Amino acid sequence: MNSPKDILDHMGTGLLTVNPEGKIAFANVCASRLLGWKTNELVGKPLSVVVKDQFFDAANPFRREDLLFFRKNNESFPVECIHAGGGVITFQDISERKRVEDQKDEFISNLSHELRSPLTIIKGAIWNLKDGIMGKLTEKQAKLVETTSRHIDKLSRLVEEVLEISRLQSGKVQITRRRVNIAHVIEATIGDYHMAAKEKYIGLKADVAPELPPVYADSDMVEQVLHNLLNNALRFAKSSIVITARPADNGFVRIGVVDDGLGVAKEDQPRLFSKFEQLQRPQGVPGYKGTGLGLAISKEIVSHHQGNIWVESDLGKGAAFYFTLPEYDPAADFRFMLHGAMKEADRRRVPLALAVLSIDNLRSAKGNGVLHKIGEALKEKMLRKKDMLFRYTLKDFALILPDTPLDGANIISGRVEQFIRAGLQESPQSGKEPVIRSGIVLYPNDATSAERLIEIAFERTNGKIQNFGGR
Amino acid sequence: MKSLLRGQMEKFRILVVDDDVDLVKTLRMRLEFEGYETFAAYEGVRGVEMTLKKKPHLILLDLRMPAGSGQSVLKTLQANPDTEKIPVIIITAMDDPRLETETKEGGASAFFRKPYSIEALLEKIRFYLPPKP
Repeated sequence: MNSPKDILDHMGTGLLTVNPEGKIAFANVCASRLLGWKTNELVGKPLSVVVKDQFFDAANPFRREDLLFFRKNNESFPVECIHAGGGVITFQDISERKRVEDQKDEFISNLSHELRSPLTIIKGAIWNLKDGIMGKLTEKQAKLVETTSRHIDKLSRLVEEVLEISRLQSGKVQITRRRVNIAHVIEATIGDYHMAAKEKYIGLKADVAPELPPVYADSDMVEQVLHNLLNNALRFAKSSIVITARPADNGFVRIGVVDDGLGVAKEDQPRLFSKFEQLQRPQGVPGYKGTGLGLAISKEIVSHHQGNIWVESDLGKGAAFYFTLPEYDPAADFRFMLHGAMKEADRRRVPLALAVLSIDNLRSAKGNGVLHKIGEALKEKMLRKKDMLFRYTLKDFALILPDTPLDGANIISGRVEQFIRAGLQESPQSGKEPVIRSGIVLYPNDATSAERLIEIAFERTNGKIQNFGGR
Repeated sequence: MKSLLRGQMEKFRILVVDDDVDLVKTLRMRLEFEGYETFAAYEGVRGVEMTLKKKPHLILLDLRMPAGSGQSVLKTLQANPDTEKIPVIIITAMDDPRLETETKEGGASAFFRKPYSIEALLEKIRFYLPPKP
């Protein structure tokens, strides 16, 4: 029987245990091999020799993250790291996985270029023919050119959709999430379909609950999901399509596209959101055939928003496609912006600073208005174009400072503090004097995740993080 | 517009810079049909030379090309007071979503991803170079 140490040493996964002081207490053979230290050299060293990020937090276990670990020779490598509690950290080298992902991205990017270029030429040539640039076409020639043109458009659409689903699945798609009023998105999208619905004698209307909370989403992407669902509904509806929007459980909003068409058989429903699945068209009814990717793309988009998409239908009784989107959350919005700035800093290999300024002893209602004005004035008069200022909570400003080292961030934060102080003095309040506390963190030096950067910045203001969820 | 003062018969000149000969051919055919005078360059460096020589009123610029990328052409044109005001419309098949912001920040007037809609492209061109009576 192998001893527990034998078992740990024969694992294909690196394992480190860390004592409450943050020092390494044990390293298995795999860990020492991956990190380039002898096991006894590692024992007693702070975890920070291996990982610069403040990943290990005894009070906050069960975290799984992709991080950069450092070898003895200071060379970094990507790992998938799990802190399962009890000071036990396991990690795996994912260099190979990252390399394959990068290769796949490059392949998709090259493929898209190679497919789009000839399509552009074919499209251009067909349009030249269609518009009579090469002389007037006979009726038969014109029909042939028209058919070709329609299929070129379909091929272009297919190419874009295949590329889009690859991008979505590889997580390389650029999603710009903002506070979005879903009623406006529905209104904008539905406008494109009134004509087509009228031609088919289909009633098309929106039914949006009053005072629906805003959602946190990329509005172009939500529009795309609605377009996909509306296109389908328009193909199958008999006489009516209704777009609904209602508050849902757990801070989500539910949007639905409901038609009175043939519906989808229960056994077909699970396959609907897979790639290249075509909805069963009514027998003998010609018409626009989809690419079979619309619902798969919609599913990817909705998952990127942490939402769900599903269908409720009985054969012969119409179909209701629903998807959910999370309500707007200012803290999530800020994390997202910070994450984007971190990615840009990586790409340009420049430092990034985050400064937090907390203001205490403010009278809530009046103070809120004053801080709002100060924030606007700061943006206009003091900050650089690239800086991003947020009201993180009612009493905190968070400032993302791209391409800024620590000394620069200190100077800017100091000036901002003076500016806020001056602004507050202009609108004196009764009661205690307002107190401003600031905290600065640097990416990637202090941490490599947006969440940790924010936590540390607030810790450095010597305060506790309040209203962290923002709602 | 200044050029409109120069005799009604003179056509607006458009320079197409793209390494794809067939694309340039179909595009020029269309632009000439629309009443523009066109020139072509198949390399970035040549695109800059042609701009200085032919003084086009508008440039259609590809990004991925041999001998000088579209980005470097744009940078060179923006750095020269004689060429910085010429509207440059990017036409590219490249996938990177950051390119649009980058090139617009670099001075490009518009951005089209291939395969673009010819109608949308013509509309943009007409915005800068309105058809002459």
